[in-house]
Amino acid sequence: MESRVVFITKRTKAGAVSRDSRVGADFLRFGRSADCEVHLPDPRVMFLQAELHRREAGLYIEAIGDGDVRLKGSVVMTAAVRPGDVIAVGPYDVTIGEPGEGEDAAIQVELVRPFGDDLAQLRARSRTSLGASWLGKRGVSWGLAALVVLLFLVIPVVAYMVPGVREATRDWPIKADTAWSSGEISNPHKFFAEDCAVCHQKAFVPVTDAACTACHKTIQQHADPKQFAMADLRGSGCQSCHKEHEGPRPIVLNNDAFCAQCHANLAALVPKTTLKPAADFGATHPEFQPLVVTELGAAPRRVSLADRPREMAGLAFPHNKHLTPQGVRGPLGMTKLECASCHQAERGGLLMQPVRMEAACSGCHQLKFDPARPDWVLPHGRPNDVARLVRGLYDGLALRGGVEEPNAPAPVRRRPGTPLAEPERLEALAWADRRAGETLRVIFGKSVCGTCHIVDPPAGAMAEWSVRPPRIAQHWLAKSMFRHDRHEVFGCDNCHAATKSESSEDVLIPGIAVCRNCHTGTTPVVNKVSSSCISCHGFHRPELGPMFETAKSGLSTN
Amino acid sequence: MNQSILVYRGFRYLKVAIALSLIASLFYVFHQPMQRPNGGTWLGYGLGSIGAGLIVWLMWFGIRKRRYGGGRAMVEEWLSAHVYLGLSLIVVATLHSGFKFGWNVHTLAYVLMMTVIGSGIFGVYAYVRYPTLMTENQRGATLEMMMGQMSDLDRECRAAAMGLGDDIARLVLAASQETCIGGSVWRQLRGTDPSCPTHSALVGVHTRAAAAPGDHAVALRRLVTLLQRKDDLVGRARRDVQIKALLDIWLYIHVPLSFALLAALIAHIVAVFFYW
Repeated sequence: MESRVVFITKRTKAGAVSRDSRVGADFLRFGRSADCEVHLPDPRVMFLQAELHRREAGLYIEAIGDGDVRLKGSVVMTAAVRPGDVIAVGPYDVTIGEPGEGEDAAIQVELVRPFGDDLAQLRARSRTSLGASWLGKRGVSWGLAALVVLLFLVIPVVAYMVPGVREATRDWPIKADTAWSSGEISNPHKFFAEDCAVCHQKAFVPVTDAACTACHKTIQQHADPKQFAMADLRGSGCQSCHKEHEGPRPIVLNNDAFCAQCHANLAALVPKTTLKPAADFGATHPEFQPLVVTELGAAPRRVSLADRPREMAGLAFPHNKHLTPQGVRGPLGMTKLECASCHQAERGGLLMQPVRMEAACSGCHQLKFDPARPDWVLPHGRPNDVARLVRGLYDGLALRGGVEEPNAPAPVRRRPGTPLAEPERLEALAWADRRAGETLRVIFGKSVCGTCHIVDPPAGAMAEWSVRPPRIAQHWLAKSMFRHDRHEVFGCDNCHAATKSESSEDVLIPGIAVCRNCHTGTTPVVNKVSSSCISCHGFHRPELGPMFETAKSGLSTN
Repeated sequence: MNQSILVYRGFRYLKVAIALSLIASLFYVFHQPMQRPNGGTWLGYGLGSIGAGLIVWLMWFGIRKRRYGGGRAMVEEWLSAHVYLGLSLIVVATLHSGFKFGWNVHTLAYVLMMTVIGSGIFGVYAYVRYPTLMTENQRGATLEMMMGQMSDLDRECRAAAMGLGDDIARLVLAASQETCIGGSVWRQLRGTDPSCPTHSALVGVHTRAAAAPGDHAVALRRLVTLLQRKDDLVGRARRDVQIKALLDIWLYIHVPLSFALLAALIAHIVAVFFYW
């Protein structure tokens, strides 16, 4: 097969520059191999990619191996070709032409897809700086800033001004009202924590005391404003002590330094105060000053335990005799008494219940007075009734008769039910009066009432015996709170020296030294309980009037 | 830019920053507020004001550095102060917070600030460490020069592969046409390409060269040498891109988060005084 192969090497404006060659071979091979009749020197062409055969019917193109051979754009394996057809072999186009005289085939070969500029292509493929990537600074900066302003500034402000927006954004993950919160609300206030305006009533105005006293109407004064000019604590508001947004902890200020501002030397601020300097329980705190009745019948007054006061309660009760290890003799034999036999804490655990004679003492100290008549029992605590009762009992006895006392007059010893003449009646009543008088002397003497009480004999002919009412303080340390329930792991005798007390005049309230065995101030000490002022003392004093009035007139000005 | 910004004028701004941090810490230690320490005490407001002022001033650096020749101080001095006073903000702002954190705009501002400072610390590290590494890696050639050498080698490889088998030609063609330097953000930062066509070609041709007989082996070994040189160049070019990306990447956090911080700072201040 004789073929003419025309290589187009260059196209210019004037026309194509070509190189013609004649090839005599059985068929034409197209490939990168130098052995090929049509040598296509391009790395994109296979070593041997296609063959052109002449058969009876005409020319055929055949693909060899994996390389693409395309006829009019379609991949072909074997196809008949006619003049005018263009076959793509790699980057080359092979056009079939009309064979000339003595030729079997004529083809034109042209590199139509030349290899590009390597460097330009490498540059185009490569991205060698972050500036060329999707990353950016300016847009992201503005976007983030705008997002923060929208979520944390615009929406909260709009939600504050338009209640509907607040409701609408309540379920958002970033809530308008909590995004601004500086901390969790304390537990007692949590129920309205989502409504900032309850406390923050006006924008850019600090929370006023009026916001607090709207609910806490009865909160009391710290000091009596009638007595002390500075009692309204002008200049301090509720927030001075009660700081919200500090989490579930109580919002009561627990800082001795705050109390010590005034109480370290209160007399310098308030000359007429009776309060002694106090700044720290462990270091600076006066000896306890319980309320003690220091004079019989007088009102209790605060006396320092350092002055070793004697309690003149008007009641004789030696604790040591009642707390002997072997017990006390009673109607049922020997009975071992404990503190709790008489002293019981109140339900709240703060104070002790008053000791009642009927419950605590009468088991042993039964108020019987006539051995012959054991069913006669006196009422406790009503001396006037005692006299009337005793006289009535003996009057009745005399008038009824049948008394088996040898010294009694005949009308009294007569058979019961026998009528009495007037002189006899008077005689019987005179006996009854004499007998009652003797008995009352015994009752009010050392054997019954006088065992414990101070008794005054009748002041005149018509007067009766009287018993001085004992005065016992119910709340010894009235300026503080001591919780017995929190100290119940200790025995009573850890603090109260009752077993050694021979007289009820002993004040058994322990001194500060006893408390300091376990407690110290707010500066921590090994093995001691740190206790601040408010561990024992309250700021708002229930006995004083509400702070609210003062708050309204003075404190809410800031 | 190099270490000189850190030692600028005998560590002048390091001393200023340490003094500021120490003074703030001493105040914090000796300040005994009645309440738990917080941003609302007089010291809290004071530290907050200093912190806010510092943030605005630090951000001003972004404007200052673009103004060539403007102002008395050199950009170098500004940067030294920017770095050290920026670091002192960690102390000032943390003490301002009183260590009180929560899920709110206040802690958001704090976290943004710490992230900005953290990215800045990386930036300082990068500017101190990477220029040396970059010079060592480049060995006098720029990335552009390396890429020029690569394309020359590509041409040589293709020519050398012309008389070799189709599988070899395919490997060489892929190496020259598909190898790329850098790429996605992750690729740039990673500095390698696990499926690099040049490396695959090198391995493929090397394996065949070992098994090839006679003349064929000579041609293959020549190709291996060429591919080896290109693979080397590709590795260095990728390392160059990686170092440059590391030098830049922190700024894509530092700058946008600074603006987010400024916005959060404004929201923080407004919130505090709005609900006073």
